[in-house]
Amino acid sequence: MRLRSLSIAVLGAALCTSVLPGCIHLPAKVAAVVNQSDPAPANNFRRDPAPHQAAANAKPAAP
Amino acid sequence: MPSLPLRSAAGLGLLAALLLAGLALGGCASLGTGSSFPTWQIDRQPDNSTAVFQGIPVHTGQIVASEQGSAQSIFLALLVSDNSPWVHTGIIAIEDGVPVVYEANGQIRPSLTGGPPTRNVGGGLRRVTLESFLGKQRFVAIYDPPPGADGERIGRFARDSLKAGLPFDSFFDRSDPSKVYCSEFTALALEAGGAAPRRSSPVNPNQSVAVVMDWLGITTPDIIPAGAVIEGATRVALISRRDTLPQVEAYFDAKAELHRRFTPDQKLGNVLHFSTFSGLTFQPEVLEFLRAANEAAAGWTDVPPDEIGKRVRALAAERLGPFDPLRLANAAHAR
Repeated sequence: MRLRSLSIAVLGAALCTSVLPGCIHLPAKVAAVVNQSDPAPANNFRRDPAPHQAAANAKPAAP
Repeated sequence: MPSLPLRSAAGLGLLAALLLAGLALGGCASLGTGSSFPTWQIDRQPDNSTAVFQGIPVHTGQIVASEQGSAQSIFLALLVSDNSPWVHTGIIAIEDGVPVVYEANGQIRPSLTGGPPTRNVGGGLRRVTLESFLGKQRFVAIYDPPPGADGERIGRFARDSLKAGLPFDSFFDRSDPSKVYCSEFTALALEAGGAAPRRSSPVNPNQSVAVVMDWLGITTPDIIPAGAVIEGATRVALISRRDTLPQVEAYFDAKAELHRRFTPDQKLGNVLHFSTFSGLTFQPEVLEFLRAANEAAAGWTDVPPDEIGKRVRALAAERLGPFDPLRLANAAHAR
């Protein structure tokens, strides 16, 4: 009886996860381009913090 | 396009669902009146040849184009070389006095076998009421078919396709019309009505797009984009259930800017991110840019469209960094 319940639970869980996005396993090659982003400035969608940081560093100390 | 437990994607939207089983189409929505929508712009007044749906002149053979404004929508836009404001199209028909939409709709089926989601897609032609359609999409436009096209013949093609049970084409192979994706179906319907064949657009030559397409098993060199379907067609109405007209303009400008920045060397992961439970989402910087454009545009009443475009591009430079493709190309050449 318990085995049957367990089987149903496992099957249910399998069915549930099969319709979640997580059930789609991206191969490493695909994950490398979909789940990894480039740092600025090679990334056209990420502001390069360097100029801002440089400007901030260049500020004279307050008197 | 597409709620758990079974998520579906209309037309190109499929690919979105692919990776992500994304795009919750939400439940059925019921419209109030058109005036309850922030954007309910009617570009042409009804005449004797049309039925009227909440002030909009509608007739069989019109084209409906839509966009969700989601990460999935942007994903789909980036797969094709040409940017298009729209991601999905269908055909309107008036049946028993009620406007309905015929559309090609893909559905991801549960699978325990793994592999690319393109192998587990069902669905096909379906018919929904225009009212239901409008309640599920963020942006919608209705177009009269191109000049010379016969609306009744377009409608007949749509009905016949539904009767024939035309299945969805998850591989976007337009050389095989026995299966169709959304814009392919709409293009075929227009052609059946006497319109010129719709043009296709090459798949984006971007390197990361090639990797994803290869995994999905999609070998087609080109896709009929939603934008090509409406070429030569006259817009009848523009509708959004949550955005004002300047916000609609700003979204389309922001989408165009993202597409412009997605040069061949860029990774899809620079724009988007795929996670186990939330599916496909925007990278934080991109999401912030889109939100900033939408919030700013809420106050751009009476700002001309050209100026909205400039402001959105300025926001992109501020949020995403400056982008000058000519300067980048010259720098690469110098190296």
